[in-house]
Amino acid sequence: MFGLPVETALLMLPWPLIWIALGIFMFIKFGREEKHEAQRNVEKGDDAK
Amino acid sequence: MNLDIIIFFIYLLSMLGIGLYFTRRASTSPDHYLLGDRKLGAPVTAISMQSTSMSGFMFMGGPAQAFQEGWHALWYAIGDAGGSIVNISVLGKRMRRLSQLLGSLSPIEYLENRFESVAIRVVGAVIAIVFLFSYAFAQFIAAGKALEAMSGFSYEWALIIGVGIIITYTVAGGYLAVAVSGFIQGVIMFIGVTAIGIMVLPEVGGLTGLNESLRSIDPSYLSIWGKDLIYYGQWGVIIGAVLIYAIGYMGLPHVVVRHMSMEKPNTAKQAVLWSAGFNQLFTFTPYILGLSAIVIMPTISDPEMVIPELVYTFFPGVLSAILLSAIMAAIMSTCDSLLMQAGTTLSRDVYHRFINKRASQKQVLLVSRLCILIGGVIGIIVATYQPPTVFTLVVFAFGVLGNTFLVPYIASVYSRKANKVGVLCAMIGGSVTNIFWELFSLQGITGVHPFLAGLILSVMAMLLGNLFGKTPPSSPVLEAFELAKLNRDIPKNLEKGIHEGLAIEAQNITKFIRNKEKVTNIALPANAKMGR
Repeated sequence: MFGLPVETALLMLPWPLIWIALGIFMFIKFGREEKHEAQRNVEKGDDAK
Repeated sequence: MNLDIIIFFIYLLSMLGIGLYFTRRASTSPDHYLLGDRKLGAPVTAISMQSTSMSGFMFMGGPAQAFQEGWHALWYAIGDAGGSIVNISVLGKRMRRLSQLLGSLSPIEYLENRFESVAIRVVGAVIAIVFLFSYAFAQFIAAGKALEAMSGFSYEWALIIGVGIIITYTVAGGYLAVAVSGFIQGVIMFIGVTAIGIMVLPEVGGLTGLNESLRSIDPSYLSIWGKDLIYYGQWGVIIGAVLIYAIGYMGLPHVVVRHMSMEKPNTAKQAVLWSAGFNQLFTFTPYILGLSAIVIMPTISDPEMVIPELVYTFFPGVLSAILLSAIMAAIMSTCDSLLMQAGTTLSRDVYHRFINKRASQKQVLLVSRLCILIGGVIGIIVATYQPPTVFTLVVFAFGVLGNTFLVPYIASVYSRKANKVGVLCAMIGGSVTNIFWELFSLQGITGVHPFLAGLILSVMAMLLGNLFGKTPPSSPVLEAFELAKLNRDIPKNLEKGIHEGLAIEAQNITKFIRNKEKVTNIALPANAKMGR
């Protein structure tokens, strides 16, 4: 791919996709945590705002 | 004066304007001056974190490395592309919460408060001051060289003008000026490097054409093992090259301070996405440009000047001035953060902690500004002598700082059992290993990168120290540790960093820290230990 040897292509080219996937995964994870915390605070009657 | 020089100076003066704009806000309290009042949003946190991390190395050292080593140099870019994503994911939310719960304004103070050890602050402050200033001085030299090449001024004048502007806006505007200018500089760097890439890549036939040309010159340029397969089979070198930037940023005090200054812990959610996008679009291009130079200008005498030479070749005068501002932006965004952090360490961790414990807010602010100013002036004097191999010094200082603080920062938010003996062993073990590995060139003998060696020794020292250390953290600190964990309830008003006028918790913390009054009606028992 892109005129690179197989070893270089396989080991190097996927990295940008891996980092983007990690970023999206963490975004979703943090979002869920935020939601759960807000829910729990509302249930407890804490001033969640 | 040429139009391109005028454009370049407009850029420098704009940075100065940002510093002066934030002067009044920065003068209200140490919280404002040292942490921007913990009000940074996601884009500023993410982009200024990355631009601060990358330094002039990205525009000068990185392309030079690609020019000399071929695709092997991309291992560093791969690590860099994930650096702030990993950093925010691992430390972001927890460190933001814990630093506020512990009432810490500097990353070194944070370690002392978390592990309850003066020795940690002393060792941490000494290592931070020595290597942050070394790192900053190397950036000064890079700034002087870049400005000399772009403006035609003598090196000495270029140094005084370029660094003088950096010092002025850092002293005046404090952390907020540094963070906001870092964000703007990050955007300029991105636009600059993308524009150069768009012009240069078609010239070499795109990525495929570039690789075909490299293959015809020397097939080993395309290997992951470096030109002439110099690192063949040395996975320790490759893993170290990726890790130094992928996780090394978590050990840099001037970078992790971005977590402490986030508007609220959940700022990390957006920041991680900003980092993922910005890094992938930006970090690889300078290295690809270095590879392109092998084809376009194989006889270039100074590989560190690959990008300026490409700009002069492909862009007319006025445009080249705008694009070359990106190089200064890269240098300045790191330089100001280093100066800011070194000044913070001197004022907060040395002066306020050991010399004058009763110093007023005004005194701490003044000392902080004086330290940055004096450090900057000394830096200019040192830089006029131009110590050789600027970027070797950068990588060395980076590695030592990373190996000193990486393990303690991660342990501070993830390990309940970590104690002060373990942290001290990790700091000393990591830094000493890195220094020895570099001094005696042990990479060549062992096939292990200095950063990887330092990291392994630091982790081992931490585990051994924890085993023999007989002093577990006190219960208030452990409670703060638990509160800072993800998915734990923490009052929203404290989490957002709303100040003493609004939040009873924050009010009590502030009272306790500043006046050492007895805290009553406190929602956070962890605060019993806080605030030195």
